Amino acid sequence: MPAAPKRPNTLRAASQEGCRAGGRVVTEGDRKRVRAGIAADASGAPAGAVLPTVFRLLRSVGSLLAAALGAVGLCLFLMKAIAGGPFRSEQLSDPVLLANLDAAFGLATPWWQQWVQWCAGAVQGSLGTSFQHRGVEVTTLLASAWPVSVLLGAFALALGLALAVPSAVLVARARFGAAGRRSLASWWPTSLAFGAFCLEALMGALLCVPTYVSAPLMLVAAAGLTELPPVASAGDGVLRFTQAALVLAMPVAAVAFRWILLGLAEAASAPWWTAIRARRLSERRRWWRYALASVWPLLAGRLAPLAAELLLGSLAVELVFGLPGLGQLLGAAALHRDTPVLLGAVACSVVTVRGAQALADAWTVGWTALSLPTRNAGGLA
Amino acid sequence: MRRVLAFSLLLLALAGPFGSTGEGFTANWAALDTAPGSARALAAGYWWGTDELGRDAWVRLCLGLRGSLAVSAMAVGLSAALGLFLGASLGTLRGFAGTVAARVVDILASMPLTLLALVLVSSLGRSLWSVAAVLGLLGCVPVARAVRVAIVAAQAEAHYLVAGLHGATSFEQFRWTLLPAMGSACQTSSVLLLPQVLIAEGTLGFLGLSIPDPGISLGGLLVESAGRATQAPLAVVGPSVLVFLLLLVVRPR
Repeated sequence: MPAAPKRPNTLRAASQEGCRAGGRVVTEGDRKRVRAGIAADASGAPAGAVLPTVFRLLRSVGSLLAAALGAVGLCLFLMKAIAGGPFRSEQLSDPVLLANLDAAFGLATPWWQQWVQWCAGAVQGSLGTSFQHRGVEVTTLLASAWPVSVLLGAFALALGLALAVPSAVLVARARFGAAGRRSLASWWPTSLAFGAFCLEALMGALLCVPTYVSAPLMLVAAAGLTELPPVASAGDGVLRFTQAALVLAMPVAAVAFRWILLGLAEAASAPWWTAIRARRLSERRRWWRYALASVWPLLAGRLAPLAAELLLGSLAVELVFGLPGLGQLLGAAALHRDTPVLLGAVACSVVTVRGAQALADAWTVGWTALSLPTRNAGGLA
Repeated sequence: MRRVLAFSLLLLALAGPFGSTGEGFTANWAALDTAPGSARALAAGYWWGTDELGRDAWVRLCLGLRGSLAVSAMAVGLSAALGLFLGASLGTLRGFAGTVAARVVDILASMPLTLLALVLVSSLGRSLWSVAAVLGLLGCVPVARAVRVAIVAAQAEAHYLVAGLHGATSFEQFRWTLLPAMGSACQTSSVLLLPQVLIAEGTLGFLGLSIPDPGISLGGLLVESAGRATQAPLAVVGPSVLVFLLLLVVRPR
């Protein structure tokens, strides 16, 4: 059997071509060729083939759906395997009544039948009605709770990045920039080095403070500063929201700081960094425009799971600050055995977590495709 | 520095209750809800104060540290054992069985830790063992993945292939080439798992799902003290500082 002809590595070829571009300005054609090369390398097919890409996309969507349905099935199995139920209480102890209630709410059937029913309902856009909030659709509950968590998570993410990015750039400049190479006799490198040391220590400390610790401490601090009661009243929603976002932003800032600093260190030791330094640009522009641009793909991959968790709401933080988000809804559903809410929330969470990871991957590939020719050519367009 | 801190925390967990004359479980109705360092607390012989049931807060702090450490250690041990078994299965199974095993791990990994823990703890019931089992089950996923990667990497190594060519049996290949790689991966990922387990245990404690009474963990202590944060801020600071120091010791650099 003759050996199959070896497929040329189109990504490498495109990269080499980009390197050869040398002094000339990188054109849109160069970018398109490299993008096509990356897509071909990723799909294992020649450049321009559409079908394998579609196939990969369908396979990813299928895998996502399988994971969501599997997670729902696992939850149903667990709920069915354990003793008790949503209607078991001291007030309701009549076995006939309980059996009737179970039958009315579809809990008397085996777990796999419930799973099939849930899947059929989900296809039609209905996730059932809540046991705890009688008569309220699960989709309505999720739609009312999710915006709070999403807004809180997005605000915390933005706040965390706003803290982490300047801090990491400052520390990287102190370590790998011109200030790091200068003598510590003058005031500027000394203060920069001291500031960098303090920032690193602070970010390291933030990594060791979980949200269930920082949330009560934030309440204590707020009570001390503003003399407000620890449990906020209805009028100060903005204050509670800001405090909760600040608590959630702390670990995000610490994690993002670490990865950005790592990416900046890699950038400072890369060959293209030498080419950029030779252009005699200002140090600020070098770090903020070029070094930082190389960090985003790495950061997107690392922050995606954290971002997904934030968007799904933090149970501890929402409980402490009394925010009606998804975390609090999930906690109450799990404690009260509200199976429909729990199943809907689990499906949402799996889709969000996997979707965030897929988006981060797509963004990484897209970003690399856009920035690769510029970096390989040393182009500063 | 880290070793000194780790030893001090261990000492505090084991011998700390002897530093006070009070009781951690018995209520003292004569000294209810006293703040640390207050005149009432000192007069009653409790230098770190008492909780709302008059129990010695210092003793409970040490017992909480002991409880958190015990649960975390048990959970990490269980994670290592389960992860080793699951990872070995993932690394050696081929075909449909391998795909199914990989999807099962994917499902476990994509479910939020707190949510799954909530479901499992509320279903299995609250006890020291159930909390450790839940955290161990959840923690086994990263260990299994690390072990699987180590097996796949070891199978591509030259010495594995050469051993096969020289007539080594599958067991001998497993014993002499795969097992060392698996052990190393399992050890590393278990150590990295420790802070996550500590945080997860604290979160469960904070939600009232960790060790039930009369046992106590640091998360549970935080909930207890958060209710009287304005009257006795030090009661909140104590468990918070201990959680911070614990994570400082176990966090990778």
